[in-house]
Amino acid sequence: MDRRELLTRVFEPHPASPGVARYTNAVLRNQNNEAVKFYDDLIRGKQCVVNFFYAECHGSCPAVTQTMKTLYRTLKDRMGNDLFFYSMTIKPEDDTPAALKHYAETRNVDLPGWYFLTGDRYDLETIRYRLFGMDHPAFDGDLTLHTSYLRIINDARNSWGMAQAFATNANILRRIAWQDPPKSYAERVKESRARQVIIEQEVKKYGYRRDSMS
Amino acid sequence: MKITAIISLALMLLWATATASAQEKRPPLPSPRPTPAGARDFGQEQQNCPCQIIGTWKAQVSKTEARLYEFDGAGVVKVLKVSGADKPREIATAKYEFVVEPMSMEETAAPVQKAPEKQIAFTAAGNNRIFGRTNATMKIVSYDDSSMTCQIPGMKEPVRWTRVDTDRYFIVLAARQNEFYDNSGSAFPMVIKLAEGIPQIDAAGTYSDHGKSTFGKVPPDIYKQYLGEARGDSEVILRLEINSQQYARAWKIVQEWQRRARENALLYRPPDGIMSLNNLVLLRAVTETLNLCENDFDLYKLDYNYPRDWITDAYAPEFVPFYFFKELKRRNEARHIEYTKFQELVPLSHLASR
Repeated sequence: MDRRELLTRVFEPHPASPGVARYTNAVLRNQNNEAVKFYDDLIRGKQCVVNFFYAECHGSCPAVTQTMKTLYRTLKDRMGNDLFFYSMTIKPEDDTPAALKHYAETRNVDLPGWYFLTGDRYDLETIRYRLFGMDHPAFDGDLTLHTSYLRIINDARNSWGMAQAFATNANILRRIAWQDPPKSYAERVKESRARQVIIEQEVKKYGYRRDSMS
Repeated sequence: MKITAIISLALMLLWATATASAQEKRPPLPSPRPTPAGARDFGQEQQNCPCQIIGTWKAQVSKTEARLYEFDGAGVVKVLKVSGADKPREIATAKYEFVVEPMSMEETAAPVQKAPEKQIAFTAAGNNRIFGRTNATMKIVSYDDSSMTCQIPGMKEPVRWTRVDTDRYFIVLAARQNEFYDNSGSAFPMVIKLAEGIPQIDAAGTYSDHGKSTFGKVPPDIYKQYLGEARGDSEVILRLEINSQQYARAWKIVQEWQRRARENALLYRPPDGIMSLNNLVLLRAVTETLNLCENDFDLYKLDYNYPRDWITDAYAPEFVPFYFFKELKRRNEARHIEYTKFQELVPLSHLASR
């Protein structure tokens, strides 16, 4: 390995991500009717939470949107900076950018870093199978099943996670945290010390260590 | 030594007889169970029959007189009068608009959604009048692939229009066994449009590319092999005549899957996904679209819902298409076009190059 190759490998931004091959680079439209490329603009190097829904859904979708709204409040400082929410429609024929804008505004979720996406059915179907495919035609053909799951992606780390949208907020937040960028040594030491203080307080108070993680 | 050999031979014979009798006693495999027609399973996408107005429609005015309504894609309709053996004569031209009434909140939230109301608004061009008026609105009461019942203002009884198809359309479902290393084989649908005696064929699915299982657009030299008579029990071929709307929908699905294979956008991709599942999704979509507007064929519901769907329960995905087509053939034997008749209908010597 020569010096040029070594430097190329070291500074390659996302060496392990399959990129377009996995995510596709389909051109979608957000609630502001802006054209975005799925991988290049939305996934590349970012951490995001993706769900599928449709505006006229009267089942699980409104509840999932509400859960995401609560999560947004907790993660507000990161939203739009290093963390994004993408809500993609499964009914692109009905859900135009204007319909998505209306949906977002009426539910007070037209927020920075949260995009509602529509596009060609062909592309959305491909993305849905790539992100939520379970290798079983009966489950994969069931559109409602995918409205109750959240896919958590960190492209920079090339890591994936999945969360049940009806799990507790703490559970979902923990799953999002699992996909967070790796922390520096100093940060980890600081966190460990803070956790140790809690453990010691618990042991002193109760006589044993309680689950301080939850 | 001799005694030992005799004893072992006797033991072998005894074992062989016992095995054979055990096999005879084994209960036979369960026979195929009929699929009761029922509502879609929970969560399955509900698809409504699309109302496709573009084309030519015929309305019988009296015993000797009929009218042809030719709707084009640019919003213009021509009305032609047909009486006896005379050549159709244009009697009116109008602009038309296809209006779909928006559904209420309650209607969209209903578990079983009914199709929204549809009507056609006509504005006659020039001095011509359509239905005796300059502006008229015709409410579509019911429709399927081949007919439409409309309520015309001023007329007591609803009028039935029938679609006029000048071309003929076919679908051929072909599957083979014992072709690949795992004993599975090719399986794909072919959609055929016969326009002015020239067949145009499109096919997508799993086929053999020099003995290797391949998924995508089936080349003509491959699908031509399946336009002949089935080769014994290891091959199943079902030939059905369909109408223009069934063809259009099936053709669209075939085109979409050809595109998916071309653009590397298959829904299931190895190593993460099972390749043969793509073919199952394609075959299911193509066959289900035939019955989207009316129960035209006796279909088998390939939905992994055991015990109704016994095929996916009994066979691995790569073998499912063969048994699926076999079951469809059994159910639609009366509609199956025999090879000799198919040869007469579809002149394969005039295959259109695609």
